[in-house]
Amino acid sequence: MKKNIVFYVTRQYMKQNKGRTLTTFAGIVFMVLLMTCVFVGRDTGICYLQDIAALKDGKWHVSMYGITSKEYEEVLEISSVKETAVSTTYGSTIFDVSANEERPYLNVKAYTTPCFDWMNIKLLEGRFPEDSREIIVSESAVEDGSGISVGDKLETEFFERTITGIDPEVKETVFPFYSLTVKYNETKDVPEDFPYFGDDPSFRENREYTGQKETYQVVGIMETPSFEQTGAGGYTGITLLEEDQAAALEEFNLSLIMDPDKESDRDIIQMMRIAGKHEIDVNDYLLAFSASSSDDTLNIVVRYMTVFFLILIMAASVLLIYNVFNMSFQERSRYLGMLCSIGATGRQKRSSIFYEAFFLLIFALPTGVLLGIGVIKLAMAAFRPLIGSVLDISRFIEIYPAVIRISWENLAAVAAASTATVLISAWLPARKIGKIGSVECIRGNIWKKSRQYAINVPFIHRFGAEGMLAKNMLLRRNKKVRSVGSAAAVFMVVVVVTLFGSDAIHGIISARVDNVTISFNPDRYDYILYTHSAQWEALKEEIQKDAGVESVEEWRDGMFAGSVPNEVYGKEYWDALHSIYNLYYHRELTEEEFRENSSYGMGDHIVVNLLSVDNETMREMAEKTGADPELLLDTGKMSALVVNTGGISTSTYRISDMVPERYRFFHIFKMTDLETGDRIPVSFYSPAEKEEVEIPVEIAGFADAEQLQDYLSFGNDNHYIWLIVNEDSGIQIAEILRDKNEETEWMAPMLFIRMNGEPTDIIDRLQQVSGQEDSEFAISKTGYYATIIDAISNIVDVMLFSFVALTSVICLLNLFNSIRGWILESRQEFAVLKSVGMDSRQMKKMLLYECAGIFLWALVLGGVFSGGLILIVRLGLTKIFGTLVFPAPWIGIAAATVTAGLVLAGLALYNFRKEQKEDSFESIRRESV
Amino acid sequence: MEILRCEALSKIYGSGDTCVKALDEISFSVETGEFVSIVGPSGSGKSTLLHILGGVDKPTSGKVFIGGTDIHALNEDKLAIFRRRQIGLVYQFYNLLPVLNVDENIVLPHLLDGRKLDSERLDMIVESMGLTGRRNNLPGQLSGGQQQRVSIGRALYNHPAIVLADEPTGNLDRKNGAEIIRLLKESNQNQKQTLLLITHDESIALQADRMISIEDGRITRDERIRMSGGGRQ
Repeated sequence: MKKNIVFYVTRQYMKQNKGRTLTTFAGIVFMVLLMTCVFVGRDTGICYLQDIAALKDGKWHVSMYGITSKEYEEVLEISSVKETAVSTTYGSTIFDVSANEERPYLNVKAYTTPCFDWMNIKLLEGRFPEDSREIIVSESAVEDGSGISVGDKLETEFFERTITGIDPEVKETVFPFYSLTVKYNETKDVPEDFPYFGDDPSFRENREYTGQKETYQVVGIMETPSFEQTGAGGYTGITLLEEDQAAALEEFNLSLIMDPDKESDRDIIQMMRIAGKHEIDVNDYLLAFSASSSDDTLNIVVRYMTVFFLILIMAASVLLIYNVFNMSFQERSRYLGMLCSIGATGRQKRSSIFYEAFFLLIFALPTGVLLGIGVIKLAMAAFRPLIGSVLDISRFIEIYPAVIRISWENLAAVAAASTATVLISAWLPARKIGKIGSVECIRGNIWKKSRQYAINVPFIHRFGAEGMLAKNMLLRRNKKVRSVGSAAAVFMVVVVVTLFGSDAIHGIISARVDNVTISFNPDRYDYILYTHSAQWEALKEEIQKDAGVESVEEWRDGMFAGSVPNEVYGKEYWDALHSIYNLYYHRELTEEEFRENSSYGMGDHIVVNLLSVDNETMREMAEKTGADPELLLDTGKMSALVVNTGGISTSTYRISDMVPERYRFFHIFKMTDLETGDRIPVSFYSPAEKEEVEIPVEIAGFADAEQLQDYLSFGNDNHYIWLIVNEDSGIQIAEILRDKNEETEWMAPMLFIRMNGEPTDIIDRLQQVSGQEDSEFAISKTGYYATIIDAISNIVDVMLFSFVALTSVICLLNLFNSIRGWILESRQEFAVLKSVGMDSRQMKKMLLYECAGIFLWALVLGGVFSGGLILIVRLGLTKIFGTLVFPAPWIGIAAATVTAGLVLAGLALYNFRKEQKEDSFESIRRESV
Repeated sequence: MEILRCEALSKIYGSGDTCVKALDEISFSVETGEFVSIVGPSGSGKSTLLHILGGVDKPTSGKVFIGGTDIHALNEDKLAIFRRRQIGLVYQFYNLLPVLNVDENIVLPHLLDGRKLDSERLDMIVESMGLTGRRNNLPGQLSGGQQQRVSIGRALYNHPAIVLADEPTGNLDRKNGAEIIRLLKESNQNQKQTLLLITHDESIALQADRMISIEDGRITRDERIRMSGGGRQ
């Protein structure tokens, strides 16, 4: 005897309807797969990015150089400091076995044990040092033919390197890349990675011995560390810094790892204060991916996306599973009705549906999880080359494949979410079927309608028999329209909402991560060099001469350089600022209170930013914005292009120690209410005159940030007006602002370097020098700041793309299943139509009419739901993040609509053709043969 | 004049040991305006014969000529066109389209032929079938008898060369069954509509001009009961 007859009958039913059972199973498997991608993929992706980011510079978050024990103790008191490790530099020693004349030295560092791991020191041979008499040597020494190997002994005597000018004929020798100038008879320290020039007629290299001598045994050969410069005069050797040695050091280097859950951003500022004049490095990428950067954006985005994905997957899956149950409802109701007639209760009928759903889930769970892990592996493999280019590290290191991070918590979350989805999907038809009596079930007249329909002759004359049939099939039996139409609508909704979400997440990322006031278009300029060196013109010439450089343009950036009367800022700006104040004060401030407390009341002037650009760029900008180019390039009077858009948020506008109620961003469309031709009195403080110098600046036109995006983009903390002026005006303002007593200067030149693709080492050389302590310039990729945002955006893109692709599969499966069901259920009708003389061309025409009707219905349904969901998401985002600009994804909407229409028609015709191959008359004959 | 002729019709289902011979070399012809009943026990092959004659099934061998056209030599689409113009099919289970009302179901073959609706003919058919008050109802809202009348109306609307009825009363009570036969007979007598009817009921079979008995796929008897037009032989 069967233990449970209802379950037995259900299993038999499932066996008999293999196609439908398989589709339901596939739907549940896809749902589990997607859930696995969301939960396991999320952790895997984030951990992988952290690991990859750590490969670039190491696992440390912050490194401080040359700090004292007292400073070390202060650092230890900082709450977010989780772990620390000490290291030191012993200096250079003669490397007797060197086979490279340009690299005669070995630069030795001493690491405490954790540093080897944190600095990504990887052994190629041998082992790590176990005491302070053992050393490992860089692979580059071996590659250069030194013949050093494990087991060798190294005698060392450490020294610091200096250079002295020795040619009285040469006034000064300039090393522009090292910001170093040596005059005759002058001696200067050089950094460890300074090249070895050998015998030079104009200067001499000196060795100042520190008195430290050691004998080391080589115990390993390491991969060339990322910090070793190829042009340096020495190779790298690392020994162990024992604890007692570390404790005895007066000055040392400190690396530390921070707790991502604490306010590390604020603490880094504290560390910078402690470090004072000592050098400090922050591992930006790693902090960003550990969600410890300027804020927890990545965490928020990941959390938001998890919820966003989860809801959409659940909604799509619920519809698919519900559709399958609903479509087989009448068929199912017959056998359940029979069971009912022999005494099965409503509860037993319901349990049949739940049994089927959970029976499939039991097998779908492991299948889906395994497939999900496979998909994650594939996605990470596809993502691997992208990471290298995004983080610009592929030329330094090899990026290894991702390790899938599976945790019990994530698996439990997948199981719970999948179970909940299946439960909801099965509950709706179970509830419905439980209520229907046995007689209705058996007779199959559950949906018998009492409405009457008159023949519509004009419609028939217009659309023929096919149109009449299609219209009546759609309107008089809307269950099919609902199943197929809702499947098509879900496809459109998922794609449209995901695209909107994707754009919105991009917006949020730029708003929250992009705390760079101004950044320059990396497609137009490859590198940017900031300098306060007096010899910047010589440097510019040197760069321009290089064969690999196409052009060098000179701009000047004067952030906070001037001030203007408060009235220059418009109503929209003051309203946004008022709202920010309300959030900080946790109440609605009156206009008087706001004016009293805000910058409005603190003085009659407010800051403006200045930017001078080269004249060619100025002309182009004028053309793009419709400003007056003649006026902008007029050297006789000062005029400006006013950037009229901006933004202000609680994370970029701080009011002393106050904590805002919540994060809010306000996009400002009109920073000023002034008009073209108006004059702004801009004040600049002249240190020479020791007073404000006021220059009237005529407004030559206005620009939106978007109009200037070919050249530069403004970050979200752009809450002061930017005035863009020509080259001469820039020099004139820089002159006013110059302070001869200060090393740095306002409106210092920036050189934009555009490469031409020819092979050159100029950038490597500039980068090496700019990394030195006394460097007078800094060089970075123009896209450097953008790369973190791009990295996160790219991760979001990959995740969203995978999500859209996989969810589309669910939706397409749902659509296919609905259409298959529709065609199967229409089998008898097709046979009848055929028997009364309908040919296949007419049937196709009728199907296409039906598809058109279903598509229209899906369009309305999809439009309403997409619109509603977008509105909800938008409202939610606005509530959480502020008044960001969320563009509607029109291209995506059009693409989703066209795809849905084509898929609908294509699948209908495909299924119809498949059905045509079957003997459709069988369904008529079966009843009478 | 001969309207239907079948020559050596055979139909075999399956193959090898499981092969079933539903029709075995059946040949006969029907004259225009003739009312022929086909009788035989269950499984004798009478419905198979009717489906082959109606072009909804194909014979294993043999030919069917309707109005001189070898219908199984036509391709699917031509056969469909031929069916809607020349053949009227009436099934035991009505086979109406559930989404079309009475009027729409009746005019369907006519509309499929791309012709304009003939309202007068429709009114006449609806009236003669006794469906005047039910014209806007869907099949699900009609009784079995009414549904079968719609089915007959559909079969007759296009003035087909022949109407093939497969146990049209098999699913109806005696009164409704008699009414259906009366309608079919009326069309045969008044409009000279050729009629081929399959039935189990001997009393119905005896109302035809000619009765063909089938057993194990073969014609066992083919007898004329009365002259076409009513005169008893």
